[in-house]
Amino acid sequence: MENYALKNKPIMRLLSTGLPPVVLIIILLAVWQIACIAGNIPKWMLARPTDVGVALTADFKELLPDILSTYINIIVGFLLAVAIGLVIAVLISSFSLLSAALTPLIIALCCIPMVTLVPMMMLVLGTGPDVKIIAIIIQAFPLVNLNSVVAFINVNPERLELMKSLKANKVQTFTQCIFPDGIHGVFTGIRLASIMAMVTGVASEIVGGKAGLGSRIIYFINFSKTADAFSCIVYIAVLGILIYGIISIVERQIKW
Amino acid sequence: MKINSKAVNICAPIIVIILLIILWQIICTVTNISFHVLPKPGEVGTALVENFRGTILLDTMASVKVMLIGYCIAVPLGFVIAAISSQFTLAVRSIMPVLIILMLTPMATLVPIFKLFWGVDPTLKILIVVLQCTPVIAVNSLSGFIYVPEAKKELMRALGCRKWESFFRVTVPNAMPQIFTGLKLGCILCTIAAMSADISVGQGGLGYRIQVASSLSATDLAYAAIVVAAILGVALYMIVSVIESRIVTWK
Amino acid sequence: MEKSYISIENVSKVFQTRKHSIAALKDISMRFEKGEFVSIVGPSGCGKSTIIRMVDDIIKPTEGSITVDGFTYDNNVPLSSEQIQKLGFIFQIPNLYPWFTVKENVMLPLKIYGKDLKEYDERANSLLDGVGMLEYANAYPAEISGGMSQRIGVIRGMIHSPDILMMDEPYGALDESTRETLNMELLKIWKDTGTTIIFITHNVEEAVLLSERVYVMESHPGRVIADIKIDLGEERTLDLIGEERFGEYCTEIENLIGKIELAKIK
Repeated sequence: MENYALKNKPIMRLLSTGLPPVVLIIILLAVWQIACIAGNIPKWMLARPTDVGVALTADFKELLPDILSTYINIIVGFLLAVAIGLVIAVLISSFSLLSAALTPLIIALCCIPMVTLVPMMMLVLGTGPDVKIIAIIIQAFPLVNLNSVVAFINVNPERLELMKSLKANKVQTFTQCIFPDGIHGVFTGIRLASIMAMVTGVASEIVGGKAGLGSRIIYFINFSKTADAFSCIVYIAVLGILIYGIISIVERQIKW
Repeated sequence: MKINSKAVNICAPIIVIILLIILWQIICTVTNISFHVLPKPGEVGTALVENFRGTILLDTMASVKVMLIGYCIAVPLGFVIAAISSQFTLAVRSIMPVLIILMLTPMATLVPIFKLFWGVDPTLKILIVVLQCTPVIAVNSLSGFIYVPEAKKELMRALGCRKWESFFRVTVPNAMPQIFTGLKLGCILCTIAAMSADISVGQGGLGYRIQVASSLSATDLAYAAIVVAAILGVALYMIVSVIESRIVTWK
Repeated sequence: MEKSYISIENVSKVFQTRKHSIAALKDISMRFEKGEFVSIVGPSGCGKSTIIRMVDDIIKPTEGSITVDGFTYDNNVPLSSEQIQKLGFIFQIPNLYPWFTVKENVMLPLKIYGKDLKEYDERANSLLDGVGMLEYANAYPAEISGGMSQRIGVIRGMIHSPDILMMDEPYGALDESTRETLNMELLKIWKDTGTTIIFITHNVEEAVLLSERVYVMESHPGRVIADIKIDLGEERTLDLIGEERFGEYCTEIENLIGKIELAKIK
């Protein structure tokens, strides 16, 4: 089934993995465009892909501060969530009582929609970026944390036994054995956290906020500028792809 | 060091919750923080009881309806998308990245745009929930379907099984852990999507109540609604986890 | 009673699972002299691996005492670094860490013991050279074969020149010819270094060929049923396998183990 000749050349490999989704996206966009024209749907109701394309470049300068604000909020929140999630995971996996006390609460924390807390937190902290970053951290860190803990606890018992045989201390055991052994579980958590960071970051901009692409969408719709609203969504999607892509590239550097 | 682990697993989180509530109460009393910013836990409790029949019950029902209908559509939909596309290499290659993009795009962004079509119809909320949950369920199921150990597949081929038979007997059970990862993430996203849809669509629901109450400075009511929303999210997650532990017994 | 270099006295081990408690070892005593090569044979489940794991202080005995070179293990007193470094353990599987290169894996014990790795570079290279793996020093475990990995696992256990080497069926997963080669390498190392070796195997011929003494164990619960001195002289080569006395030793041990199996069937 697999075409092995393709696998040998990097360019061919890139084509074989990159081409199918691009073709699919082009087909979907074409269907959208044709449906709009054929159905004679007014532009204020559903923008055509060509109009969105025009808006993407035309609005870029105007949107730049919002793009930066959304991108920075989400990236900062996401990175902090990863760091916090990892630190707590290290603590939880080392002390079983802590695990019993905190794990159910952490699961609960990621089930609670933080968007609901955004209006409340704004009463205390104002409409600045800190509220959004806090919301992102609280929603995203549990996934890093839970997946890492599972990976750390289920460390390969034989590899762990070598550490016991050498009488390695806790820090050595963690850095030499448990962490590298569980790194893929950690990355699973990081990838899931990126989804939560995206969803929460943008939703909290829509709920309350003066800056950012989320609030911009509302603004554009209120003025019936549908194409511009769609261009905001495209910029949001680009951030998602960017974060997810970087995570995948970093994980691919791990050879085991 | 022998502690009865079951008792610890139940008691420890409860103790932590009680401590947190006490801490909350103490902070409120000591700092004399305004009621409009952070009400005391007692006040939230009172608001929850007093408003339960009037507003919260109705809002909860509305939210539960949106969440359940949306989730129940998203699960089979995501599963079918994954099952069909897993049969064709080209489909996997082309659909997977598109699903990942959809998974990463917050569907709340589409609410204002959909409003133009449908107005403020409650079904719009269900649509948002479906759109947000389906990609996660599909992506995780699909990645489970793709990685079936070759030996197991060969066994099924050697036994002369049909393609669909081998799919349901080998591929699906083998992918169960990943499928449930998707289902659990779906729970979380379902709650988030339902709440943000409530907030931006309006028309009842807990998210809407939080929005209204906080703009009227009825913070105790808002927090009461948040507590209920949290319980809903946790409950949905727990239900799926219990089902998982019944089905995936070998893990 | 005078203590040997390694004394295991009246040791029992009970494993506690959620519902059951399993008696793995019941009241066993063993002694090993300095520089001896002793094998422990027995059916699977007889607790052979548990014994060396207790000598290596990976698991603690439920009852009884273990004394190594004059120091009796105490649950409340951790081993001193000097005592730790007397011990070397070689696993049934290579157990290499895939995130380290071959050489980093070999150096891992020194890293854990906090040694200056540069000082040991030459020793690591000569050990790698000794098993014909020097050219693979910078390869990763995923890039080398099973036999190669096992050699690396063995020299990792020796890198810090331990006085006592415990080997848990180290060549069990390898094919016959690789195994014979590695066994001969092991004998050479033993002769050159004078290390005390406790060798676990279920292969009776291997035990007779290599060791000066063989402990035979039975299972459920694990205990020692025989302590047999193998009087085949200093020079052990594969040619011994054809000799009559070698066959006699094998038959004797196999009969002992066979009796247990028969008794179990009845």
